[in-house]
Order: sequence, then C-alpha cells, then structure tokens
Amino acid sequence: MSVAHDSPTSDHALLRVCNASKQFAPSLSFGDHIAVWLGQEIDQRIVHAVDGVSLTLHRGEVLGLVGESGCGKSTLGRMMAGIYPASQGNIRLDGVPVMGAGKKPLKTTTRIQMVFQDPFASLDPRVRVGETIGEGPLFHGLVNAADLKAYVTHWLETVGLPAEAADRFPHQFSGGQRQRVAIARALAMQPDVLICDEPVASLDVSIQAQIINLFLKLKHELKLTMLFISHDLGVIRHITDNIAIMYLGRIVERGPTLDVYENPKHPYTRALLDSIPRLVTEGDELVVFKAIDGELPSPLAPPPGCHFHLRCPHAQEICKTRVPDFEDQPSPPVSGHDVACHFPLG
Amino acid sequence: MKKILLEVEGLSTHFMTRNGVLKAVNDVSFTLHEGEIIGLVGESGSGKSVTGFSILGLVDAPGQIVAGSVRLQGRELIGMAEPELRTVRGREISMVFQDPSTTLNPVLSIGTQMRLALAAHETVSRQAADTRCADVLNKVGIPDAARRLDYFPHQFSGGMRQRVAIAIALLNHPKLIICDEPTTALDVSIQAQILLQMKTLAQDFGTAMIWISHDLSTVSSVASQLLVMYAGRIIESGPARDLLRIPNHPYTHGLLGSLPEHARPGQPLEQIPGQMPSLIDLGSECAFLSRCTKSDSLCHTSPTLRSDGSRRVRCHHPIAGDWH
Amino acid sequence: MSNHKQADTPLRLFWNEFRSSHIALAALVVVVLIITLAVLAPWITPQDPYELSKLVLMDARRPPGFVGSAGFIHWLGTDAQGRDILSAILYGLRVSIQISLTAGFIAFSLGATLGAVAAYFGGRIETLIMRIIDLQLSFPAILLALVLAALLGQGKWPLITALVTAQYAYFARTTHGAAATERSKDYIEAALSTPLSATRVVFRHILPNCLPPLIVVSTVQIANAIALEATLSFLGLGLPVTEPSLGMLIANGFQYMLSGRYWISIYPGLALIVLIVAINLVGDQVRDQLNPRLKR
Repeated sequence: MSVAHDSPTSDHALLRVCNASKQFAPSLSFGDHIAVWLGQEIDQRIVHAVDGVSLTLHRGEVLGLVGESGCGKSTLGRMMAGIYPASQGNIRLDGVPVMGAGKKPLKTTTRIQMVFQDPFASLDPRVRVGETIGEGPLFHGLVNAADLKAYVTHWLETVGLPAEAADRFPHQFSGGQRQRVAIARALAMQPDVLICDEPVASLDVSIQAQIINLFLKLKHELKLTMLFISHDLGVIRHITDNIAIMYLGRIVERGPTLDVYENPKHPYTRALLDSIPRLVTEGDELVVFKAIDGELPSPLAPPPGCHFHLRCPHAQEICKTRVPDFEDQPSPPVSGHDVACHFPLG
Repeated sequence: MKKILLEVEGLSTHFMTRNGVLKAVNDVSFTLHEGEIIGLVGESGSGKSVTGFSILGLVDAPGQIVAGSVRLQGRELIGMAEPELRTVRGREISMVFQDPSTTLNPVLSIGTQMRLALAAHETVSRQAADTRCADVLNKVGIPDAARRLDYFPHQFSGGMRQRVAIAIALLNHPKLIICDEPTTALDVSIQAQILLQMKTLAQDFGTAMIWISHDLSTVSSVASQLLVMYAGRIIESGPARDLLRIPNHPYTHGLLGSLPEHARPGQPLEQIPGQMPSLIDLGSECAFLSRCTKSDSLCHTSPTLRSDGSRRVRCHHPIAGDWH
Repeated sequence: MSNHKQADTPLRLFWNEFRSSHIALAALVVVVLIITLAVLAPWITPQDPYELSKLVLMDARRPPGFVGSAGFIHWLGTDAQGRDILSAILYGLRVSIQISLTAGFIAFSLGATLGAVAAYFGGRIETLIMRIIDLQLSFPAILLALVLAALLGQGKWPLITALVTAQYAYFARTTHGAAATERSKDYIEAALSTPLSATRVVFRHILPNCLPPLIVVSTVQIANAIALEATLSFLGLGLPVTEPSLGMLIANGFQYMLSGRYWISIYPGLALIVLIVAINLVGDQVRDQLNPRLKR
C-alpha cells in the first residue's frame, strides 16, 4: 500500500478509496414522516460507521484491515465491494466508480467480489451449490449455458471440492466446505479484487488452517488482489502484505505488516498487539496481560479530536480537540508505514 | 496437596436422535482440586460444552446422562433430586456462558436479577443485598456499581454485560464456576481485561474453574491443567504448559501446528486433513483414524486412556512419553 | 462431504418428518381422497344430480339407505327434488374445491409478489403497498367478500374475484415479513455484490426462502376460502343454482331441518367440516415442521 500524497506511482493503484464516509440513519417510519411534516423535530441517531477513510490497493497486494467489532471495518469492506454506497467520498476501480450515482445506486462492476464471514448465512439454502456458483457468471455472460457445467467444475476443483458437489445443497456440507463454496462463487466471477470479511472467524482451528492455506494458494496461483478483514491479528500477520488498523471509523495506522507488528507507532496498535493472548508454554507464573483500559466509545457519539484519546496513556490537550492526520507527520514515512497520531511511539 | 473438589468418572451423555444415538460425551473422567483452573478444549462438536452442562445436570431431552458419576466434595450429583440439585447450582457451582445477552433478563434491572440470585439461596435484607451486589460488581471491574444496580442489561456494552454475568456467578461465593467460552464473543482488548480479572478473582476467592474454550491461547493463559476433547472423548490431558510444549496426541500436535503463530508468515500452515467424524454410530476404531498420519492396523481398535502419572493420552502411538 | 445420498433433498427430508406424524398423515390421506372423489365425481356417482330429466320427484326427501326408483341405494338420502345427496355432495365439493384452489392460487401469486417487491425495494413503494394492505386487513374478509359478491353479481369469476380480494392481503403481509428478514441475510448481500438483477434476487432467492410461512398460510387460507365460498353461496351471493356448491346444498336443506329431514343439510355440512379440519391438520403439521424454534 502506498499513501496517495507521497507517491507518484499511485496511478497504478487498482482500487482507490478516497476520503470515504458512511453514516447510517435509521429510516423514518410513516408516523415519523407525518411528525416531520407537522414540524416536529426528530432525534435521529446517526451512526458514523466510516469516517473519512482513504486507502489504495495495488494489483497483487493483500491488505489486512484490522479492528475491533464496531470499528467500521465490515462497513468499509462492503462499501469497497459495492454493497453499500458511500455517503461521502468515492471508491474507484481503475478510476471508475464502483457504484452508480443516484439515490439508490447499484453496483456497476463485477470485478470486485466478496467472501463473507458466516458460510451458513452467505449461501442460499434452497439453491444447489452448482447454481450458486454458476448463476453470476451465466448472468454476466462470462460463460454460456453449454459450458456452464465444466466451468463450475473447474472452480469447485480450484477450491478443493469434487465436481459432484455441484448437485448438493449447502446443508449437506460442513462449515469449512461451505466457505470453499463461497470462495468458488466469488472466484467464478473472475474478479480482480476479492474482499474477504472475516472469512475464517467462524471456523474451527483445524479447518481455519485449511482455508488459510487455500487463500495462500489462490494468492500465488491467481495473483489475486485481496482485502482481508479480520480481528484476528495472528491470521492477518500470516496472510497479508500490508495492514491498516481501524479505530472507530478511522484508519489510525497503515504500513507493511511485519513493520507494523514489530514497530507499532500508534498507541492503539501497540495496545492491541499487547492484548492478544499468546500460547503460554513456559514458566509457572501468572500471565499478566497489558489490557487496554476502558471500552470502545459509541459510534453514535464519537469523542471529538482523536477518537482514542479517552483510552490513550499518552493523550494531551491537543488530542481532545484536533483530529490527527496522516499528513501531520514531521518526516515522510519510511516504506509507507504511516500513522495518524499527535504523539506517535518510537 | 490441595483437596479434591470435583471428581468426574466415566461420564457419558448421549442424545437419542431420529438418526441414531449421538454420543456427545463418552467416558469422560477427570478430577479438579480446590482453587484450580482446568481448561477444557476442543473444536465444535467435541462435547466440551455438553460435559459442562452434564456436571450441572442441565441436559434436556433427547439428551440423557447414561453413565458415570460426578462427585462434588464426595457428594454424588448424578441422580440427585432436582430441588436438591437446585441448591447446588448457583450456590456451589455456577456457570458463565458465551453470550451474556441471552443469560441476562432484558426486562429486569441487574440489581433485581442479582438480588433474586442471592435470595434463591439465603435470606438477606434489601440493604445488605445491595451492598453485596455492588461489592461484587466493583470486584469484576464495574465502576460506580451502586448506581448501576438500577441499570438494565441493554444499557451496558457487551464486555460490561459479561462482567455482570460473571458477577452474578460469583455472588454466592461458589466453589466452582463453569465458564463456557466466556470471552469468545468479546473483542481482543476486552477479552484481555476479562481474562486477567477472572484469573485474579479465582485466586482471591479460591474458586475453582472449568474453562471451556476452543481457543488454545486464551486457555493456556488461565488454566493450569488441560483436557483436550475430540469426538466426545478426552484424548489427552495434563499440566497445561507441558502439554502445549510437548503434545502427545497427534490431534493436539496438529492443532498446535495449525496455529498461524507457529508458522512463518506467508508459508502454508500445517493442516489436519478432513473433519471430525459424525458422532452418530461412531465405530470401534480410533475416532481420529481417518485424519491421522501415524495410524496403522492397531488403530482400528479404540485406544484406551493411558497415564504416565501426571499426563494421560488416548492413542496407540503417542508422540513421546512412557505410557502404561 | 457428508455421506448424504443424492436424493437427500430438503423436500425428501421434509416428507420423512411429515410421515412420522400419524394424525397429519391420516388428514393428508383424507384431503387427497376427498379431492380425488370430487375430481372423479362425474364418473363415479350413480346419478348426475343436475340432469333434471333423471330426477324423480317420488324419491324426494327420502332418508339415507333408501332404494330409489332408479334401482340404486341413496346412501345419504335424497333432497327435495329427489336428488341423491351423496352425488350432490361430490359435485358440490368439485365446485367448492375448484373455486377455492383457483382463488387461493391467484391470491398467493399476487400477494407474494407484492409482499416481496415491497420488502426488496423498500422506501415509498413499500410504504404505499403495505399501507393499502394494512387498511384492507382492518376490514373483516367476509365483509369485503360480501360487498364485492353483491356488486359483481353471481358467477364463477365474480366469486373468485371476491375471494382473491379478501385473501391476497394475508399472503402479501406474510411474504413481506418473511422477505424483510431474508433481505437482510448475507446471501442476499452476496447476490448484490455479484451483482444479480433485482428480478432474479426477488424470484430465485427471496421468494423461495419465504415459502415455508407461505405454505402454512396457504393451507389456512384455502380452508378459509372453502368456508368463505360456502358462506357466500349459503347467503345466495355465490354461484348460480345451475352450479351448486356445498354452501347452496346446505342452504337448500336448511328449511327441512326442523321437520326431521336432517340429512339434506347435515351431510353436506359434515363433508365441508371434514375437508376443512383435514386441511387444517395438514397445515398444523407443516407449520410445526417449518417452525425453526421447534426444530429438534
């Protein structure tokens, strides 16, 4: 990943998210509409899910998007996949917006596909696996009806499932196999970018390893560009080239994965890395965690200034008022490792 | 040596389903000492949660405890009459579940729920009850507890709700808390807070715990003993750190190998092929046979649980150790 | 892959479970039997009850078991025109079932499409459709049907129109509820991210997944349609006399009830009750099986 402002090569960016935000407002009911019409003010609880995020994804790159639940990472993934339109800002693939314009915009590209967290929910239970995989390519003319069977077989075999799987229903598969089906469905659209939203989080450890290995294989064989969303820092470290850390709708740190893990600059990243439980195999002392104090603030009313200042051990006056920016850094970032903090670490 | 608190022997819980007998828990035995934290690990369907429920006698039809004994300080719990069992639950053994939003009643304030939990086992004045509830809430890390007694569950965040559930479990100073994936639904930063808190509380109160989880890392940071379950049986047990450093069963070995932190980034993970067999009509062969790389003709007969003193393993070809 | 056989479709699993309930299975047999008898009525009844030249007035109002002048036994007796009640019931069932099934099918298609469209598109379209339906549901179905039947006059299609208008709203509301739930599921998001066309998402993905509650509503609504049709005919607002349904048979025999000739009204009434109860029993079992909360 490179940062838009410092890199002349950013023209090569395949997918570019530019200052994108997303707010969710609960839709007004019929009664509310009448109340508004009569002049009544309605307290609309607006959730600021994503707040001015910019990032780029280059061809062949695997970018990890890390954060706790409610930080907006899934929403950002769905915006990039063309499921939710951005409230502000834009998301472009090769310079072309991912979604059309208008009040109810539709996705305009098939080149970005998505794999979801829960393979029990993301497959239509009443549709045979073969049709689930084949319907998109058939509808978009990637394959004609005569070759469909062979086409589906090809993608089933790519993800390690036998050709007979096409005739079965999702309930006849285990969780790991269903996730393979979901991956085959996304791949069959021959995407340039694959958005994976916690694709291994709901799987058992031994099955998780099988799916991670499948992603590694696909990354090499198909030269896939991927956004890998996860809260599991171990999985992210294993599979991604670059990562972006998200906190309450904003990206707070981004850079090459190993660099960020070894030398985190944002206090939140540091604390997050410290709070991962590790496998303890030595010693008989009580294991002491460095837990982050406090809770995630509500995205309904995010704190002003830096969103992390309430929990940050280094927070000062400026943090309460001014939103830190990637551009604030005194020296240009080395190798694209970049932080949005007034008082970065080390 | 500490006194024995709980002895589970030959515990078997089966579910009589339409398609046959599902042996969810099969001949499980272990002992738990006072103040000890024991980790019960396994993948989904391994029988770890059903084991927890069986100890408390909370198995509903079509499930049935078909054999075994569970003794709490020498008192047999299996076959105990329901009213008597109810005095054990909550007072001597309590339970914390994965999802606090399903265990807390959404229409009662947490103060009311805690007072009810207290009143179920002893008579206390309203004021004394409130003091005790606020006290326990403070202990689990809820600030300003006295005022928050009037709060309803929805006014707490997920992490705070789990703290309330833990506080209720601690309320009657039980000797044993069974924790079924208590931190799985929480975020990493909150998980770390709660792990730390539970561990300190267990030490302060001298409470023993059975910590049920699929996550080896979290278990290893709290438990001193580990039980590894696979397809309804204990396949390996022993002191947590020994077991994780030198696993003896090929399954445990494979499970540890498949953790991303054990591989170089970007390199394929060691993986256990296949998946757990159906628990209906399990054959007489070793349940891990089809996934095992070390299997031979011997493995077509079910291995017994063998012990070397501190550790046990259920395998014909354990990786290391001197077994008998 | 689990060791399921090829034939292990959701439908087959459903049937295996259904079979295990003896009451529901018996009810299903009764429903199928009644429908078969009704369909085959012209070939199996001893008499065509509406061929006026075959009716003998001498045989009128005879009790069950009477051997008529045509030489066959009137198992359920005869009515005021000397018509064999059993034959009349089978012919009446034929008309009743035909009308209610047609009405049910149209109401189902119309209601399900409206409900799914409302849930999928949301916004103004949803508000408009669902408000009209709510408004309509606030009137009793029988009242609507009565008014419409009176306005449209007698005949098969006016009657069907009245039944459809009275019933489509139930299907629409059920579908809307189910579809709104399905709409938020991941597999619909997956379809949107492919992206598939709205038509395909609604008709291939959302609607089939709304079928379980719709099937339950269908069984109830078809039973209701049979009862509603009988009511309208009983009140003289249904079919013309040349095509009498069960309701009209009951109405015709009503005046003889007090004179002890119970069979003219009672037997058609019994046939109606048996059919409606059997359909409801089948529906109850289907509902229990499809209710996720009662799953194992």
